[in-house]
Amino acid sequence: MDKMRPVERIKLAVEHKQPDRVPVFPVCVAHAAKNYGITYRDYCTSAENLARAAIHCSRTYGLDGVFVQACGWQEAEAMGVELYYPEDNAPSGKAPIVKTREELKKLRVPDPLKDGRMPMVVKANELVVKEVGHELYVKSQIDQAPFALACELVGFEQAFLLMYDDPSFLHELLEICTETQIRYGKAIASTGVHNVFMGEAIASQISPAQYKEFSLPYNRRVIDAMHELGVTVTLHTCGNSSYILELMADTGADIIEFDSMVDIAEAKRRVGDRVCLQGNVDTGLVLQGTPDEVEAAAKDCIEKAASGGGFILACGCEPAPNTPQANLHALVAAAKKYGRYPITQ
Amino acid sequence: MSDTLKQLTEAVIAGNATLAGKITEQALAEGIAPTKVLTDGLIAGMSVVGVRFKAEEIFVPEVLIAARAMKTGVEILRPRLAGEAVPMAGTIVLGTVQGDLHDIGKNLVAMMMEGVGFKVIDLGVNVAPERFVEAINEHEPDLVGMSALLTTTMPMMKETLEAFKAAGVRGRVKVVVGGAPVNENFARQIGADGYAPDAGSAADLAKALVVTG
Ligand code: B1M
Repeated sequence: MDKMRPVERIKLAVEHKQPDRVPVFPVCVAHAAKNYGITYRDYCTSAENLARAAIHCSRTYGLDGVFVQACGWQEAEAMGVELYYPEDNAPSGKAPIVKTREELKKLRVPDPLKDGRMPMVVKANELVVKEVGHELYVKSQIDQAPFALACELVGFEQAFLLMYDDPSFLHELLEICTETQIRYGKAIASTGVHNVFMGEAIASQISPAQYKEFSLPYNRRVIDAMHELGVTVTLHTCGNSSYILELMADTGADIIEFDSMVDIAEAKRRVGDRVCLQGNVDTGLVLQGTPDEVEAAAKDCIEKAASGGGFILACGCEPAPNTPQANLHALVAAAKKYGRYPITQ
Repeated sequence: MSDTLKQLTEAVIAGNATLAGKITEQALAEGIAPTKVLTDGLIAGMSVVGVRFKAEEIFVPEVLIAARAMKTGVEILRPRLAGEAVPMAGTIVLGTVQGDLHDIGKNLVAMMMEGVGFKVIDLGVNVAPERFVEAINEHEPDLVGMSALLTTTMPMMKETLEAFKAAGVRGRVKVVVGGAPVNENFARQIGADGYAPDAGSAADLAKALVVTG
């Protein structure tokens, strides 16, 4: 019954137009691996597995897009952070590598075609674009936004303290992180993806003034660079980002994906005319609730945010690995059932 | 209250560690009792910070610098407090449960615990039940604190408590749990001794539990 191609559906939403119905695109990572029947470690270390699992997940549920994301630490890894790889869980950094000015001086912008698993992600995108890019909206990580990447390199609390103790140190580091994102983004853009995704979970924990100084200008530079290449950008924050919605929109991001702690009606009112909103069914509910509850929550999001277009239905963050399939099916069904345009509030 | 203590409170709230250190010394020089400097100066400041954080007026970075300022003062007081024969509030073994790597909240809890006089043994993140058990045997703490930020790692709190029982150490410690998805009800269900919604109340709760024994 859906006539429009999924990729067109999301593109229209991103342009603030009304597609045939609300697009639905929860960004699955660990769940994609589980759903494909492989361990997280196997998923995040092979281009072939990553691409296959991502496509398989979109096919399982009939999502309008494909999300390609290996993990949130691979830029840091390519810059020298050693990771610990649990068998069936996302990898994470062992220890910060930038503690002194000397270490900062030694830090290099990685080469996305050579360093760490960056080339693997580029390769996975080539595979995905080739196989489904004509049909599904392909969104790839460049993941950690500059401030979030800086946190991984110096340590989260250290980054917070540096905002007070030595802001110039942090700004120098942010320059390198920004350059890293731009180079990585260019390599990924060249594969033909439609959108790149930057996450900054930590942004919900800093003040608007700090966001303005340490995150916004750097995000904007990455986003401008992506726009020059004709690629749109998703900016994602975990947690309660109500304080910074306008500032997130000021970055120039095309899509803002936000967590369930944000009131979606308020987000629509405050920034819905400037950015496409993606969200925000609670991942906890999607993990533990019933399909009926998920449907009701999704319907609520649609009622509050879909009118006039510029909305993509999703979870507030990535669903947990063992999220029941029935609940994600219910999310997708809700988009089809309640999301037919025109929708009035 | 004396002006000096008021200034000390302000220095902690502002997160000015250097100033907090200076004023702590000044207060002692003025002859104010170390316990008074601690409670009415340093901890009073941190309490205000806790309230403002809960009200979402300030953010994690401000809490961190305030905690650091408090700690600076506490370090100066410590030898004097010992002299006054104020016993340590107790020892607490703290950690984020296995499978969970979130530690910002847990670290704030550690700072507040230290602030109210606990010796904190911080086991870090991704702490396996056996490591908690080992630490109980090694440090003989009064309390164990567990933090979890993921719905998927909350069950690990229960497993850890079961490991305590299996190892025969459950009766030797009080157990406090916390973290964003955790609540009072859950704490009761898994048989913990207490739950605290934030770092300030965690410290208060810990003190209360140690006193009631
Ligand atoms: C002992 O007694 C006590 C008593 C009180 C205790 C206590 C113990 N422990 C805490 N408290 C209490 O006192 C503290 C101070 O008052 C409070 O501590 P909190 O920790 O609650 O509060 C802190 C002061 C500030 N809050 C935080 O530090 C957490 C903030 C958010 C944004 C967050 C962050 C920063 C991070 N994350 Co993550 N992260 C989110 C968070 C969203 C949110 N807003 O909650 C949450 C928790 N993460 C989540 C997820 C899913 C994940 N994260 C992950 C990773 C990360 C980062 C590395 C990026 C970073 C952690 C950095 C670090 N070193 O800790 C991954 C998991 C890694 C792992 N295995 O643990 C990953 C799986 C990846 C992902 N999809 O984002 C979600 C959990 C969903 C759920 N309910 O299961 C999440 C709610 C975001 C979301 N909506 O999806 C109280 O809870």
